[in-house]
Amino acid sequence: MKKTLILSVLVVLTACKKDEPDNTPAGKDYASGVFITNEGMFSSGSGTLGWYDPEKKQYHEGVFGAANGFELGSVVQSIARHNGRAYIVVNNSGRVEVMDVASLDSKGSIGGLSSPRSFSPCNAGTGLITDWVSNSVKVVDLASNTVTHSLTAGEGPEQMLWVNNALWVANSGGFVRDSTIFIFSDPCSGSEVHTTLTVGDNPGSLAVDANGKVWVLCAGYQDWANPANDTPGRLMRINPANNSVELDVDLGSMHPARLQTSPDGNTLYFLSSFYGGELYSFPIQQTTAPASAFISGSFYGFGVDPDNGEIYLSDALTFDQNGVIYRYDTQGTLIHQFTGGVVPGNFSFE
Amino acid sequence: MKTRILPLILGSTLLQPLKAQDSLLTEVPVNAPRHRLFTAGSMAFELDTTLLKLRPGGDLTAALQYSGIPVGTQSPGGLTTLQNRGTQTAQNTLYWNGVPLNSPALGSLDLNWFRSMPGDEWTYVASGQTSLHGSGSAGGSLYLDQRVGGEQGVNLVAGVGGYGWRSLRLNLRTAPGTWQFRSSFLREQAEMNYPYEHPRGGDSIRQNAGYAILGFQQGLAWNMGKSTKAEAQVWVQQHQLQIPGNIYSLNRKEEQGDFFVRTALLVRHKAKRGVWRGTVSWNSERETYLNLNARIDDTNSAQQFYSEAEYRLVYRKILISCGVTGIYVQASGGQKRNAERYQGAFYLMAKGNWGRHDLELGQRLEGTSDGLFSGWAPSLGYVFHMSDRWRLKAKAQRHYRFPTLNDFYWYPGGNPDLKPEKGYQSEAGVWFVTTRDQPAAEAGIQIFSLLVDNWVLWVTQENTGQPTPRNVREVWSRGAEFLGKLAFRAGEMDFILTGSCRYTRAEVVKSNRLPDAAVGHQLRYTPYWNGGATFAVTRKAWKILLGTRYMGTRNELANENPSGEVDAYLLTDLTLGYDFKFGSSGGTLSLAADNVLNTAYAHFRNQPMPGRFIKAQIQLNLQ
Repeated sequence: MKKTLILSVLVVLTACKKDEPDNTPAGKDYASGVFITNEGMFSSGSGTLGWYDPEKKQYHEGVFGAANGFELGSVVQSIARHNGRAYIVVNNSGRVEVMDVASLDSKGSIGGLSSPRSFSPCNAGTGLITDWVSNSVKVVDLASNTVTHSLTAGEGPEQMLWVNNALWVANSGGFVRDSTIFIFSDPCSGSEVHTTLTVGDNPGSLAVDANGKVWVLCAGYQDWANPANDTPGRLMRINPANNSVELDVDLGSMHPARLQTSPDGNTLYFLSSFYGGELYSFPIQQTTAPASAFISGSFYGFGVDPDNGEIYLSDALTFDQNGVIYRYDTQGTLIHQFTGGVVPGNFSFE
Repeated sequence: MKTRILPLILGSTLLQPLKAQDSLLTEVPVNAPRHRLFTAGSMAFELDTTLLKLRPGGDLTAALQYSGIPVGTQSPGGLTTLQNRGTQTAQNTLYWNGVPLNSPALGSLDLNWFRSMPGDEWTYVASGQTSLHGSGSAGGSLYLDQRVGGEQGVNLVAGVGGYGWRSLRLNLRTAPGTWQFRSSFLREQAEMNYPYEHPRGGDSIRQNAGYAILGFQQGLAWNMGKSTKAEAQVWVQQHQLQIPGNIYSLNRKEEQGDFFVRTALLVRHKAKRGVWRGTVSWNSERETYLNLNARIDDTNSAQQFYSEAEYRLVYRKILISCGVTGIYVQASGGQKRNAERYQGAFYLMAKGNWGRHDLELGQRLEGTSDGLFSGWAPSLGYVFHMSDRWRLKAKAQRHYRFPTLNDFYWYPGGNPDLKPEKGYQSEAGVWFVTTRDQPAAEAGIQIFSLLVDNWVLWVTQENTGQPTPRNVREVWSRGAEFLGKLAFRAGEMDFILTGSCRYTRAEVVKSNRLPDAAVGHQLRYTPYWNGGATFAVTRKAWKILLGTRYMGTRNELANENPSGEVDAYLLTDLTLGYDFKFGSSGGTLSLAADNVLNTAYAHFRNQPMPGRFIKAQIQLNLQ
């Protein structure tokens, strides 16, 4: 009788495990959709990759984990495509996961990183990764997924941009403060030769407009102990021919982030704050700070579809639940709204 | 028959509701702490000190889990917190000889800071104790009472185990003349580099999960005469902890060092009609935090002065206790502004008996120098003795919790506009108790409801990106708890069976931050079901203890999305003990296999816990 009772209790206690949901949409060509990185809860290593079908307006959460049987890791920061592969930067795990874009199969990972932020291709066989804590740009052999060189950068190197065969690296300030752009002339070979360009405080993102001019978005400096020391956010236009600053727009108390352009390069977009800002648009002919937001809300992530100019914005809500993703047309009209992963932050289009 | 059953033993007090709460006093209790006197209608029980002695390392966490208290653990030596009735760690308070010991600045309670020493008495009250203790006791209270007196002698406990676990505890008690001394020394350390199965394969050894504790306690008591007794206690402890990253962040390097100095002076004086009790305490905490990834090397310190004056008397068989408390808390450091707070409270408790009815009333008023005010916080407890064996219990109270200094002044992100958490709670239960017959049985079931408005939650600040506390949500936690015990003798063998089971529905009912998909969902990492059970057998000098703990499915996401689900686990620990004697002294040998079935489990997602973990211990009691 006692044995029966104990056995029954054990069975009840252990029998109620739910089946794992199938997140893999069968027969899909993933390359044609939108990849969305979800950072996940900071401490748990539960960052995910989502995939969105713009035609069917369907979102599939956790497609990498479903395809490969393991999770991406802690704080999935960004994603970039190159030669049929996606390079998924997992910041807190210190790794870049390599994935086949079409099948979602894992193709290994790049280690030896302390705090990777973004990936940029160099050439067919070489890639570059900015690394915050080590203040460097890592040169990676993509055949072996190993770091071959480390280029010294400023504090908190963030976004990279190729302009006229030179690599521009925005030193975002990281955990402290910086106000420089490093322009490497031949980074793929491991050469550290670079030009230093001084801009506003904490430049985090870069874009090239329709005229070939480079725009630098500076977040400004925030002194938590003494806000009187804060410096304003800035949007600066630079002529890459001579690296001169042609326009410097004071964005006031705004601490903007995530600069992007429309597909034609005539309009800039950015968020007013990194963690929860409104979306501002800025025609490249404009010379003064925008007076009002283009799309109001509290957005964490942001991407522009280079094919049709549609705008994807994410709201991370309280950062402890699945976020919401909004898809707008170029006029700012909502097309679709759906639930994403936890802290959705970065978008990758075909 | 009673004397034959009660000395049984191993686990004899596990889950045992406090008898004192239902018995009435005609004399003023001098030494009994308040929490033993005013718990009518509450769910209260003593943790089994015999069990704690037998368990290598004085494993407080396991003893709580056997009793069905949800405990969250990141790693064996890592942050371990109570989640009683859906509450968070700062809503539960640990009292050391009546002095609150939660972190003065953070308000939190880490169970890993505490190891049980011989002679310690541990009591847990799952019900809120706000009128009795004030801010921070809305969820529940854990009491550590250390008597300076007691049996004299030397107690030495030494243990070794897997993963570099080593433990040494030394306890000395002596009483020359009118003085009493107690000295305790503790050293425990472990590397905790245990294996686990990584979903990717490859890395499969837990890294950066080690810890080391060095502690010293000195107690001193002086009987100053027939009517006055003074007792002083000092507790110094150093706790060094590595904070492991999740299994996908093996390169993270975080370390934390905590250094505590705790002192308490307790004076009791029998006056003509009543008893005066005074407590003065100074607690200091220094925390060093090192995060190589974020390049943070930070030291924060906090200190707390606590004072309390209480007067007790019995008036027409009604026990009355009234008093005032004064608290000064100060915090400073790299991530705290120089902040301080004065806090004062007045309380009045009364308990009486009318035939089959026990009635307990409480009232409290509390305020702080930074503008926080509790308003009246009354409580009403009731026990109806249906018969010698059956009782009905009920309790209702208003509760509150002030935001901590950390909530207010941490920078960047502190929020001085926070409002206190507040709400109501109520509970009722039916209890069966018999100790006259063979077998002896005791069981009860209690339902509870706990409503917390202005729940303080750390969220990301929208315009700066920094974590900041907000009064985000309103939470309603309700559920049912069962405790049961059966003890009997068969031949030369004594048996004890205990069981506990809890159902908790802790739901977010309102949010101040919309849209918020958390509304209508269970709180993060709060299991719907959990429980524990022990099975103990003694035969002459031999003891066997089989302990189990069940933790139901939790979810790391506030909206309970299935992707955030963390699996339930059922763990079984086996402990064997053998008592031996030599001359007038004696001791116990014990061998424990924790997680004896080698179950792979994690309380927090991607934070694997150890598999089978063997520990051995020898305990010597020298007279």
